[in-house]
Amino acid sequence: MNWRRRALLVARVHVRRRVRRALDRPKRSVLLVSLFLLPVASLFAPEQFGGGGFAVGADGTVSGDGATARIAAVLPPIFTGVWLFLFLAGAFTVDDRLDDVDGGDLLVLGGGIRATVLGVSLAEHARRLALFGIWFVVGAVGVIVAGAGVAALPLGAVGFVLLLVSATTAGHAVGLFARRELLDRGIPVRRTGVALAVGAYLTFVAFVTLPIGVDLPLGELGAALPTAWFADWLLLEYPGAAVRPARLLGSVAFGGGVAVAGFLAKERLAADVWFRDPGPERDAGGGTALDAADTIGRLVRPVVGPAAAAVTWQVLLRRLRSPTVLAIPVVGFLLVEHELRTGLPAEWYPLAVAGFAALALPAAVALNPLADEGVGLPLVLASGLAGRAFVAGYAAAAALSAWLGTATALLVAGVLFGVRPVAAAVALVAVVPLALVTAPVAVTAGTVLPRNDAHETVASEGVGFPSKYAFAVYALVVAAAAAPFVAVAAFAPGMLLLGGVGALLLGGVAAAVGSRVAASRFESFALD
Amino acid sequence: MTPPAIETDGLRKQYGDTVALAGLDLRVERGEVYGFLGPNGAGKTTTMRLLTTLLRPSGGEAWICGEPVTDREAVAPHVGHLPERPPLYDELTGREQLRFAGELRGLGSAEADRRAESRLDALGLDAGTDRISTYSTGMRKKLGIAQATLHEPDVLFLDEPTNGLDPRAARAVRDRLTALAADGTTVFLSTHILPVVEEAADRVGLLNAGELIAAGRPARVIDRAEGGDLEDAFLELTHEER
Repeated sequence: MNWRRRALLVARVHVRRRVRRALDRPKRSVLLVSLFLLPVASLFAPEQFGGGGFAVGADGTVSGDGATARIAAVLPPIFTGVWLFLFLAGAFTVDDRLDDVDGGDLLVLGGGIRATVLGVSLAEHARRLALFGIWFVVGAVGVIVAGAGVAALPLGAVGFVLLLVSATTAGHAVGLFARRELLDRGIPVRRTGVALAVGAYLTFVAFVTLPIGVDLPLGELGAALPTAWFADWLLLEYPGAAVRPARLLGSVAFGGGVAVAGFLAKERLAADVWFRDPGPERDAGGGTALDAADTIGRLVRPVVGPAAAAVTWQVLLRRLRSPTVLAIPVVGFLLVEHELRTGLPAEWYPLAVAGFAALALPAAVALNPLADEGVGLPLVLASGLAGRAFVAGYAAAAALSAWLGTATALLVAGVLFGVRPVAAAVALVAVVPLALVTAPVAVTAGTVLPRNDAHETVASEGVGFPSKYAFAVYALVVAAAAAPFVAVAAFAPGMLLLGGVGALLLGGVAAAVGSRVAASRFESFALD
Repeated sequence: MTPPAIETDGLRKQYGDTVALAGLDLRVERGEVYGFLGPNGAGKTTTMRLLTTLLRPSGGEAWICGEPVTDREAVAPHVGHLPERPPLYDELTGREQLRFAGELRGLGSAEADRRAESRLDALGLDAGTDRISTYSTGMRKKLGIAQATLHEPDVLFLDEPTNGLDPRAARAVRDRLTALAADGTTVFLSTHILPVVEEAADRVGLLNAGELIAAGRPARVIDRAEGGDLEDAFLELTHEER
């Protein structure tokens, strides 16, 4: 059997596994598909709800207020943004050790390196195409429902396939190249979800948000790059949009060329990098994280006491070393961006960020405290740690994360938009009382409603995702506490401060009562 | 003359400043069961990965059935490898997994199925139609062994094959290894469970901090440590070296 057939065999088996996995977890699959439908839905939602305001016409074309012109202007930089995002994601998430490849030993020994690289790549592309293909299926259904056929729709898919394959393959090659260069120089490799999220955020802001919101040079740059040519395939659908055949041909040459060159480079680099295991990782980058967490622990010790401070620095240290969960709030920052773009005055941005950080980061840090302790929970329980100290420690870590998250987001925004220092300072002060309310509420919801039963909780080996019930209770309590502020904002905007104070008081009561409940729950927690 | 199953000459692996394997000289003849012992972090897994071409040596040389370990294409047909965590796909059934492994090694699907059947029978594994996600640790190890032997390798590398198994499953695995050795397969066995080695191995090698500190027939290694059993010898020799 030659390497091509082996590659197809590997790809076929991997695709079969993916399909079975998806069918085994129908709820998760439906959720994933729904998430992929959101961007499409948002395009067609009315503008007053933050949507794009487009509609599918009877002739199958998308229409709206100046739709063709808008789409023709907006799509190219968006395609560049998406290409860069996928490239970045590819570079960060490439399997750069043989151990990262599922069944790598088996595949390499049985099929060889080329068949492994190609087979796994094909399966991954198939998975991505299936996911992104949902958009085209929805588009096709929409067109059929509207009573007209649009031949250009499959052509749009061509552009998308070229974009997807070229971006991820090039990203993989660059990721492996970076890994090789770092290994050659003896620099510890440390890829984090936060780095990826921040990179994705910046890409999104640079090439999608800014070009859509205002006509900035960055948008023009995005539209001028070859990565924007892929959009022309989609623009074929719009008679009014000027599509140049040269750009279509160019996109095929560019996409195909990058994909082939990327694959060849990837195979060559994988044959080297996969077999250069740097050995047991020795706390890569851990010294800095430890120093930071330790400093924070010393700062909070006089306020919460030594036992709670120990919990705080331990929680922060583990999040810094396993920060994937912290990447989740970045999605929220994108939504805040979206709100800005669709009507929120720019001067409100710092406060909106502070409000979001106070909501999201405590949820990311403290909404699953028992399972996050996991295998270490028996140690914590057996230490005789008071429930109050456990709750205070987690709450302090969550509140500090909210503050640090706000500061980071404002720093990024300051560089990109020029946030006024006074507005940033106000936001950094405002986030404190908000986080002091939301953090204990998050710990309470997570402690009272742990994701798993006691046995599974102790079996968990790392920071994980919270229970949906804990999420729901947290959201409900925070929403209830915010009710006075929302009511005042709606009916008596002149009394906002009063509404804010009322909300904080109500939230404070919830936090205080909740903390007692959580402390008691922690102290009575048993491993049966 | 037929080359030995495994031969190494000053085989070395270094991670930065850390020496994982410091010049290993080893010769394992065809059809031998070789017990490779050592405390945690001694370099056993590193050695296995070097010999199965999954790591690149920092120095020295090694050959499997006369083929240099730097030539994966030449070495791969000769070796079967069962890492401590068997490379199995949860979403497949046992039979599907074996067919995949067989086809990957160039067997036709019918031949892969036939061999899978015989391996599953030999190991007493009758859950071939169940998804691997439902398998116990013992069943996974057995399936891993079936997979590693599907292409009838000359040398079988086993990393902790009886780890986490109950006594019955461990016995089944041990019996299978003995049967493979009787059929002429060279078995290179790394484990912490010393009675397994004492019972099954023709010769043993004791690795400590990347260096081979004792090698020979189990009885000879035990004598060198002034009596007792292999466990006493292990403790005494590794203690001396520290």
